[in-house]
Amino acid sequence: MEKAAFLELIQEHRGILYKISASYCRNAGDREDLMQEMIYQLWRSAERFDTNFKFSTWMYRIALNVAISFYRKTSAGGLRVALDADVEVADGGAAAGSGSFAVDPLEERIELLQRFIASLGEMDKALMILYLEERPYREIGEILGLSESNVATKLSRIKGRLKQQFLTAGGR
Amino acid sequence: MSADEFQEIWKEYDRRLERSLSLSRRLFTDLQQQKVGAELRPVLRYRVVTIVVGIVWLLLMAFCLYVVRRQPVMAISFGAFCVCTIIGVAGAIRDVSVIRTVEFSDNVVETQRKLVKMQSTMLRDIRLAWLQLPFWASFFVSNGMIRAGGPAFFFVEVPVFLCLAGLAIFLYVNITAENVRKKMWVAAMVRGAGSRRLARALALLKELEEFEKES
Repeated sequence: MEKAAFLELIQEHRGILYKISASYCRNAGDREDLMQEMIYQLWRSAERFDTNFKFSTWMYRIALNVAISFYRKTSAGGLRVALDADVEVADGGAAAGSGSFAVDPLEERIELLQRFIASLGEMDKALMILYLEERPYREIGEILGLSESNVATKLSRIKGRLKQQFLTAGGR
Repeated sequence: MSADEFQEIWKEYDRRLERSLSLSRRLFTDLQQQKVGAELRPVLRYRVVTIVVGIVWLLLMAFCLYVVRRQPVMAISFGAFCVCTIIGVAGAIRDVSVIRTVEFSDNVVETQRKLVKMQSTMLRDIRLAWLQLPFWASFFVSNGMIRAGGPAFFFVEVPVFLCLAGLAIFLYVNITAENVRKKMWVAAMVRGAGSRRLARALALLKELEEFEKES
């Protein structure tokens, strides 16, 4: 793959990479390092990319493998974040940047969802991200190496916990 | 709240990201200069060093074994050093061949299992190193020393050897992946070998086992 074409593809899918790195790293410095590591590994693997394969499946596999491996290298990574802990919101601070203190309910929900993801184990986190990215169960199974039925069972359990968290947060 | 609503929240997050996100120029500069450290490089380096040092040590021990071949206690001790080193080097060679098969584009469970197993092989090296402990108290015992020392020599040498053998077996049994997490003293013993990273690798291994279970 030509470098220019590769970079264009990465640019196109940068949102996915960013969301994965934001889910696995709590601070901005680590996030950027992880992004670099993911892009580097994608570039290294690009020449072996089988065009019969779906690009997104290939990219998710590499990005998640790098993210899960990366947490073992960082000093603060790998620790699950308690649901009531402060998590740096990783969207560039659309609301924060406006200088307004008004509470955006959607912003709150995004933050709660991010907190929930941060509280999950490394593999459950990967599963949840793929679900939120609306990947079909079959593709999630291919990416993670699980059967479709196992994906469905695990997701239903995680979603149950997530609903509970949102209900609890809504009741506070 | 329906499950689809979570996907809607995620989509909104996506939309906000699109507005604010731009990949920094440095990211691409670093990519061109390949400054980023690959995950497997330190593991591979550790295994290659193990192989090189192990082979040099094995040659030295084999030479000593040849020199003392007519001194039974010394020969057994050097033989034990040789056997432990061969096991360690063989394991490191196998690890290098496994590292070559690791592909980040393979499925996540398979790749992570290979990676964390690689990172936990240092436990095997530490256990093998401790297993040789009693022979450090016997490798210098020549036939002449046994003859000259008489019973008093045995009363000192044998208990020391047995104590060290007991300690070696105790450590060999206790320095396990499970105990790195459970026992502080085991974690402290492997701290120099990167116990924190090792503990994380082992925790992930456990998570992978749970994750794969059909439930």
